[in-house]
Amino acid sequence: MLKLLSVCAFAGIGLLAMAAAGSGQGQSPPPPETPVPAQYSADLKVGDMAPEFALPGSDGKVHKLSDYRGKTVVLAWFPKAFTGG
Amino acid sequence: MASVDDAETNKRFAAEHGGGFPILSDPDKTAAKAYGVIRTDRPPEQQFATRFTFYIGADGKILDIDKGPRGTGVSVKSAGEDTIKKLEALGVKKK
Repeated sequence: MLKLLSVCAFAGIGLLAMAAAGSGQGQSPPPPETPVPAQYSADLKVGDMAPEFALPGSDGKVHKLSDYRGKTVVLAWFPKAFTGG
Repeated sequence: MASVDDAETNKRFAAEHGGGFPILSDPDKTAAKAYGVIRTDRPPEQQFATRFTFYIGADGKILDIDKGPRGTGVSVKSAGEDTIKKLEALGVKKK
């Protein structure tokens, strides 16, 4: 436990030293970025027909949206596999 | 679920983390673009799918779209339970 604490303390000092070095260079902080509104490739609304697709699934089958007519489909997009959820 | 990863990657991902539903792959981003989950203000190499969830009814029409509290994507932590709550709110019967 003591060893862990000393490592933490050392790391903390290192960070402080870096912060001091950074502020000592007299650089003004970058101007705050003006928020650019996100632009998306389409803007679907409730009531629109869901765009048709036929995409390969992890189960080895091709999944066509129109094959699911008569059922509710949840299509949850996510950015990247193996990236924490 | 769907992403712009290739099929082989999502197959491995589903095998490790899958939840009993297929993970779809859209590497050329055609469907992702049609669903409006791609940020066009970003360069192509940063154009991943935003965490938007679409609820599509039996007639093929969009019942609801969840874009998260700030409109930038749903919460990773509560996505599962949020989806169940939404389906209940939409009156979708359980199997």
